[in-house]
Parts: sequence; structure tokens; C-alpha cells
Amino acid sequence: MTRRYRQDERDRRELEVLHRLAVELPRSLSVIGVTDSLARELVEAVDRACECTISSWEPEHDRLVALSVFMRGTGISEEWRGHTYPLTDWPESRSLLESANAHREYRPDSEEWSDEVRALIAEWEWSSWVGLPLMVENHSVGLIELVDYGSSARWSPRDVAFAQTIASQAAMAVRNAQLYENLRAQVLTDALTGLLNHRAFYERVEAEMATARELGRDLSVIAIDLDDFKSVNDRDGHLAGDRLLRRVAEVLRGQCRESDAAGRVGGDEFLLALPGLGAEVSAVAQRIIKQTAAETGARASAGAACMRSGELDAASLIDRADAALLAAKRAGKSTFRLAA
Amino acid sequence: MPARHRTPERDRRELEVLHRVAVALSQSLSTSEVLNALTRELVFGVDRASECAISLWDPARDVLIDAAAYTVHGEPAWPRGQVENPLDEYPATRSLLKRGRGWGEYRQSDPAISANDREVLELWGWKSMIEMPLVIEGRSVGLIEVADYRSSRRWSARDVAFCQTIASQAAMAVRNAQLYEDLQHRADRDSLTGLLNHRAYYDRLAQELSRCQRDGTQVGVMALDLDDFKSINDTRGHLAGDRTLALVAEALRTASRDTDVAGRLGGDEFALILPAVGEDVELVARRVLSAIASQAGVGASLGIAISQPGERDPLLVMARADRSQLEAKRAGKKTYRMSA
Repeated sequence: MTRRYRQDERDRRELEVLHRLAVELPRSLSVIGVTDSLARELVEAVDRACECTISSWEPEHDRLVALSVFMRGTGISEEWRGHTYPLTDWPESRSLLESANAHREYRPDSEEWSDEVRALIAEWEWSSWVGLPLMVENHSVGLIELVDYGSSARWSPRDVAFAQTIASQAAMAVRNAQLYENLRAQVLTDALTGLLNHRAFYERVEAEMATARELGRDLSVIAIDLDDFKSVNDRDGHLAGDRLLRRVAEVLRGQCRESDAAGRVGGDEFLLALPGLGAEVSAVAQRIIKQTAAETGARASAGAACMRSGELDAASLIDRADAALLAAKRAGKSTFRLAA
Repeated sequence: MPARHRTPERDRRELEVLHRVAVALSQSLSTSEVLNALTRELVFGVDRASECAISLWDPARDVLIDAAAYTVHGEPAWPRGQVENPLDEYPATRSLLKRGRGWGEYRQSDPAISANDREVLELWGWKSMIEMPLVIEGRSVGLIEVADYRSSRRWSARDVAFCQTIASQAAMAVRNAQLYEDLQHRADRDSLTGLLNHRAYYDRLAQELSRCQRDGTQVGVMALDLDDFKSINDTRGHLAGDRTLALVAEALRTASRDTDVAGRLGGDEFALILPAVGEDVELVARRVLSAIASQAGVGASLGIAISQPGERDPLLVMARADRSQLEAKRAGKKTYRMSA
């Protein structure tokens, strides 16, 4: 905010916006929660902004991923959340992010757009827009775009400067949310495979059991264990063993539905929780044994248990799946047993 | 802030203060740093504030624990930290905390003030003071005291309301820091046993090594490995194995000294840090082995190493303990060896 633009009333309004933002942004410790508030506040604070899009920059994939899109009148758009934009189509945005420059103004008729991008911009009815890098501790982590649907006139330096002030104030809230989400992931996941860890899996089963009771639906747990894992470790070394565990985790992820949960709870022991499945869990377990052998070459045994009515304790359900796994292993390898 | 008190100039200044407070408080996710920043901002931002102190409330023990303080002369000279103030001497403050709203005022010139309260004001050199609860999501978590060294006139409604506004704006930053620290605590723990995990154990050992350097003491470490643990997993199932590990952790906690720190480094590998250890180290080792045998029903092999003067590398100390542990294992299990 440069001195010559100062007008008392406008200044005051801007302070009020900054104050409201300071109260609103820390309410959430999720990155999307913070960027949703930020997009909303920007559209409300900057007169010309009809839409605000905030996306995160993934330099390793050379793309932007939309986090929050707020449109005046209709609010946050769930439809656009998660959309990806390859930066090969948007070279100006890439150079803005790389140079971490202050801002850039865009018009639909720029020479740089390809025909497809021009068509896209026309479809969105963007007349002019301003891009600002979202900076956290001196690094660009994302892009903020303020869009005017109606006018392609130059944006006033005051509007742009104000948007920048808002964005820089949001930086710490974004960073705090990032730190929190990263730590949370670290606490809940097994570092080697990215599956849930022991505690997180038990907590998840606990929660799924409560939901299953409430909805009167089935819930099953499968316990899976590799048959000769120790010999892989001993023969080919721990790194080969770790690689195998990661590939098995991949197989399990591939076999899971969105609502299922997969965890690694010990050396080579994996657990799956499958809401909505009763005795038909047998077919799933057998498919997993087959698929594991096909994709990794490793043989696995599995045991499964279906939640009983009145069963309250996650440990009890998992215990029965585990006992079934033990029975399967005694019966011969690459085998499956369902708990009685 | 009642409308009749509003003057544009003051309003503007208050907004500026609020904005600054918000920016200052979002800089950190450590509770103590956030509380320190809050005391500082209250002293800078509230005209009458000569000093501000925050203490945290422990309702179970009915005490307030000093957490942060700041004065117009800067950091206070008196020692801060874990000073506890029992609330039975301050019934009005206790009921303010229980209510979770409102405020209290204490003035030397107030003829109705109790002898005890007057004594406290005189002791600290406070002419007057207001106190209010620090409320997070509807619950009091602590007390904010704002003191005036110079005047014992009544605090205006406007001054009080402004302090309350700052306090309520700070609540989210305090909550975020507390959530983050709780998560940090979880991230340092092995989820099955609650002992320190591999990373946190080595961090802690490095700290202890540099501390003993300063104190001129020695750190002992113990490396433990259960005897024939794999056969428990294979014959009785993973859950039985998990239970055994949890019982071993419990045995470690009961058999070690209060100052010792236990960690689980992997599968059935445990370790202990024994700060300021002396002649008693072998006694502790024997106690640990017998506790594991009696409480968890398994044998263990244990190796001991003592840090050498000037030794800073935790890996080296642990490597010696590991070698002793292997010797103990070869010597016939259920025993300990100490490295030279």
C-alpha cells in the first residue's frame, strides 16, 4: 500500500478486511479450509474480482492443481476443485511462479495461448485477470488468480497491492496448515508403504464398527501375511524386502474400494477393513492372494472375519481375522480361512 | 465495543493493533511462543497495560501454572515457567474460569478489596489489574492478567472490551499450537507401546549426551532384544505378539528409574537411556530383565554401554550397547553384558 493511494475511508475498510481475514484464516488447519476462506475474502475485498482461483503448484509434475475456486454469487465451486492445469499450456503462469515476481496481468488475446487455451478462456468468459504467486517463506507454493468477467481495463495498482497484502497475510496460515497436515500424515501412516499404521488402522476399524452398527451394515477385516518374507530379507537383503512390501501395498491399494482401509501393522502383516462386506469377503481375500502372486511373485496367506452383532471392540474383530490367518498358514501356504 | 465510545481515530488504531496481533500470533505453532507473543502484543497495544501475564489452568489439580509474561520494561526479571498458584486462595478467579466469560478488576484504591488481593497487588507493584479467561472453543484454558503500574482508577469498559477482543482473536492461534504440539507428541511415539520411536529415541539420546557433557555426568544406554520373539508371532499370532511387546514396554517403565527414557527401535528391539548413571546401572539391568520375565513372560538379552567423556554421537554409544547385547545373546539369553 503506497502512501499516495491512501484515503482514510478506503484504508479503514481495508484494515477491517485484514482483521477479518486474521480471524477467519486460522479457524482451519487444513490447507483447503484456509484457501477457501482466502478465495472468498479476496472476491469480497477486491471490487473487480468476480472470481478467485487458488491452485497449488506441483513443479515436479509441471502443473497447477485447483484448491479453491470462489465465484461471486455462487460461492465455492466443488466442480473445479482438484482440476489440473499443465503449465505447458500456461507458460506465463509458469514464469510468474518460477520468478516469484510480484504479479502479472493477463488478457485473453495474449500471443502465448494456444488455440485450445483460447477456447477455454472464451468458454470461462474471462475478460482480464491478475495472477499473484502465493508465497510461503519466500517460495512460490501456488497461484492466486483474480478474474474480471466484464472488463479488460487495466487493474489499478491499489487493487493489486491490496490483494498482495491479503495474500502475504495468508501465507502463515497456509504454512501452518501445511505443517499440520504433513505431521498428521506422518502420525497416521506407515512410512515405508504409505498405508495406515498400527494405531491409525485400529482407530479406523473402531470408527467403522460404530458406523456399521448405526447403519446396520456388515463389516469385514482381512489379515494378510507373506509366506516366505523372512527368506526374502535374508537372501536378498532388507532393501529387496522393503521393495516387496511396497509392491504388496500397491496391490492392496489396487484391490481396495474408496471406502476400504488398508494398513501395515507389523513387519509383513497387512490388514484391510471392508465396510459393507459380509461372507462375500472370502472372494475378495482369495482374489488378493492371487493378485499378489501375479503382480509381485510373492505368496501370501489370508484370514478374514466378519463383525458379529454385539462385537464392540476393534481388537476382538482383528484378533479373529488374525486367528483365521494363523489357521490358514497351518493348513498350508497361499491359503485362505474365514473365521467362524 | 459500544458504539457511543467510537471515535474514528481510536477505532483505526485498535484495528491496526488487532491486525498486528494476528500477524504476530500466526508466526509460530509452539504454545509457549504464541502465549509470549500475546503478552507482548497486549503490553504494546493496550494503553494502560504495564504488564501482562498468562497462566494455564489445570482444573483437575485446581491450579494456575505460569506460562508467559511481558512488561513495559521488556521480559520480566523474575523466573518464569512452572510456578503453580493454587486456586483455593483465589475463589473469584476460579469462578471466573469456570464461567468462561466476564472479567475481574482489582484496584489498590478500592476500599472493598480483600487483604489477600491487596497484598498480591502490592507485592507485584500493580496499582490495578484486570483478569479475564482465555477461552478456546467455549472452554477456559487459562487466565490473562493485564496490570497497570501507575493508576488505580477504574478500567473503562472500552479498555476491557479491547483486551477481550485481542484475547478472543488469539484463541485460534493458541488452539492451533496446542493441536500441533499434541500431534507432535504422537509423532514421537511408537503407536503400539507408547514408547519413543526410533527417530525420537535418537534425538533424545543426542540431547542427553550433550547435556551430560555440561553436567560432567555419564549417560548409560541399554539395548534389549527379546529371546525367540518370532516364535510367539508364528505360533500364537500377531496379536499375541503385539500384547507381549506392550507388556515388555510396561515392564521397562516400571523397572527403570523415573529419569530414564525407553524407546522401541524396531520389531522386538527396545532401548533405554539412563541419564546421570553410576554404580547402579547393573542393578537397573537386573531389575529390567526380571520385570520383563515376570510381567511379559519372555526372556530378553540386554547390552549396556556408558558414554565416554566427550562422546557426542548417539550411534556410536548404541553400537557398543548392541555389541554387548549380541554377546549376551550368545552367552545364553536372559542375561546382560556391559561394554568396556
